[in-house]
Amino acid sequence: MDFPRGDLMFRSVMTKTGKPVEFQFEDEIITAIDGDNVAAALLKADKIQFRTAKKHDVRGPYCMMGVCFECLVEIDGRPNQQACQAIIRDGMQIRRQQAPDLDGEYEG
Amino acid sequence: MTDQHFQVAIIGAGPAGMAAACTTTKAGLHTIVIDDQKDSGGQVYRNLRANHSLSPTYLGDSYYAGTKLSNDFAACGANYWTDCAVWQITSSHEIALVSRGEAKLITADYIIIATGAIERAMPVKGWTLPGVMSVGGAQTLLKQAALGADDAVFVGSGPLLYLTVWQYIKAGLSVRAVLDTTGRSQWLSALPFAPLAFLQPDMLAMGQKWLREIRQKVDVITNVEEVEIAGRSQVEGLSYTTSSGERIDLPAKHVFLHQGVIPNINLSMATGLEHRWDQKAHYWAPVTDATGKSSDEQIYIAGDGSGVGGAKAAAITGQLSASAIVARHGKPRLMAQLYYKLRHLHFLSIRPFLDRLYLPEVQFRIPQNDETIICRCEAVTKADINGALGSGATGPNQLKAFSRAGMGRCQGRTCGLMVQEMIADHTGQSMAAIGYYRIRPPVKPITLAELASLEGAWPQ
Repeated sequence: MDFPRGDLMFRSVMTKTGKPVEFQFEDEIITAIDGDNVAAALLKADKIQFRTAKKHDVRGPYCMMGVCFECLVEIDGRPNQQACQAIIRDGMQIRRQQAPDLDGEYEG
Repeated sequence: MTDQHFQVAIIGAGPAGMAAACTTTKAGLHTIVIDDQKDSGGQVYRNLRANHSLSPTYLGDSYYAGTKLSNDFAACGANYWTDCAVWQITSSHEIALVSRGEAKLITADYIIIATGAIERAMPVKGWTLPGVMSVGGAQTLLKQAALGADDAVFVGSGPLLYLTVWQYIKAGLSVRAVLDTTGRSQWLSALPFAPLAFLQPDMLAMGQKWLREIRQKVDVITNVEEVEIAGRSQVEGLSYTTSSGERIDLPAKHVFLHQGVIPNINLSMATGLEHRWDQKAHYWAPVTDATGKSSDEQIYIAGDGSGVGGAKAAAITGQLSASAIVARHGKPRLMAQLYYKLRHLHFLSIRPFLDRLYLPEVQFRIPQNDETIICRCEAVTKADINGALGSGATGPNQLKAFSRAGMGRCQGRTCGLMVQEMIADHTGQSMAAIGYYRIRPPVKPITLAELASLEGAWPQ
């Protein structure tokens, strides 16, 4: 199986089988594999900006093991969810998390 | 008011936790293993059992070396709770957990904390930009989701960096460059310990093999200094200075940083156990005896959480702590303990060399630029910390109150050592004298609703 290079930030290096699930990120419907973690599913779909921190910093996943809390997103209305620890589920609604002192404008 | 009682509770299902559980269950002790991931293996053998059926060769022998231990653990008969975070160990040895939205208390006669290691921070300018990840994070994506990034630049030093680059090229990913920050002074301080490292010829040979195969495909640039990452809302490139003083710019969308690993001490600190500053390895570790017993008679620390030794050493310390607990149940295991101890010392023989070689230079431990963020959670910069020091903050906890560094959700896991070292520089005190942030439970996030779900949380 050949996995061609594309323009995406991350690509698969191996065929992963599993039940496809659909989730929503902001206004987009994305397909992932059941059992993937939320951060991996988003990165695979080329979403690398997960939240804003104070001072208008844009942040994305950093440690992928639950230590750094950089990948916080809002899942099904619950804020502060660690995307690298949460498992993607069919129908999940995921939104970027905005720092409280910002009004939600992304520059990227 | 507890749900269940066990003879042994093991926190963490990495090599130390798995090996400990195999030993205690074999001796017939009622054992529970609690882990925050969905499958065993910890970080080093993460997703091993799922990967094993597909057997991608790019993960290499050092990864599949965990297969037997993972299988033995799966068959050992211990109670095993996944997706379950421990947020407190109380003074009466109740373990407070949260799992799938519900909090729970269990009790145990003996507790083994086997929560492993985390990566040391590498705070260079631009390290908070999306597209920058730790090397461990990049490796986790490869193991867990079979995802990789082409044309990434790997920066830093340490065995995990080279292992991950090797796995990347074996997976068919192109790597733009490896920028090795190991300085000449580190080589000089490590060299006297090289003969001792030859007691671990397999590990040295493996490192040589990775390097040789990497160099065939990737530019490896050594003695790199003054690394800065550029970009607005994601990484666009990075620049560095070569050993000959030349400034080089590289376009890049991915930068992966690594400066070795340090014990994950948040749970042992929040439990009030004694810790010591290890000046050679430059990190805090719990005080333990030869069997891993902490300053609390009932609590043991096994694996990298008691001092970094790698996966094989971690498994041995798990067996060592477990057999000490078995002995305290009236089943003396002196020969086994002696054997484990000797094996442990053998595995550690390479550490004096590695610890010195891969202790990052000051420029990679403390940001060089005033605007570089130190506390990622609260976006506190080096200038902010210097401001707090100028206002008279003399210790980590006071500095936290002044600057908010360490007050965020990661509870200082990322910035703790940086802040402490900046205080040491400013006041001239030793790292040991300054101490660490006071870490308090809950060490894992828990909502009020989850807390309220604890049976007996409210007076009747």
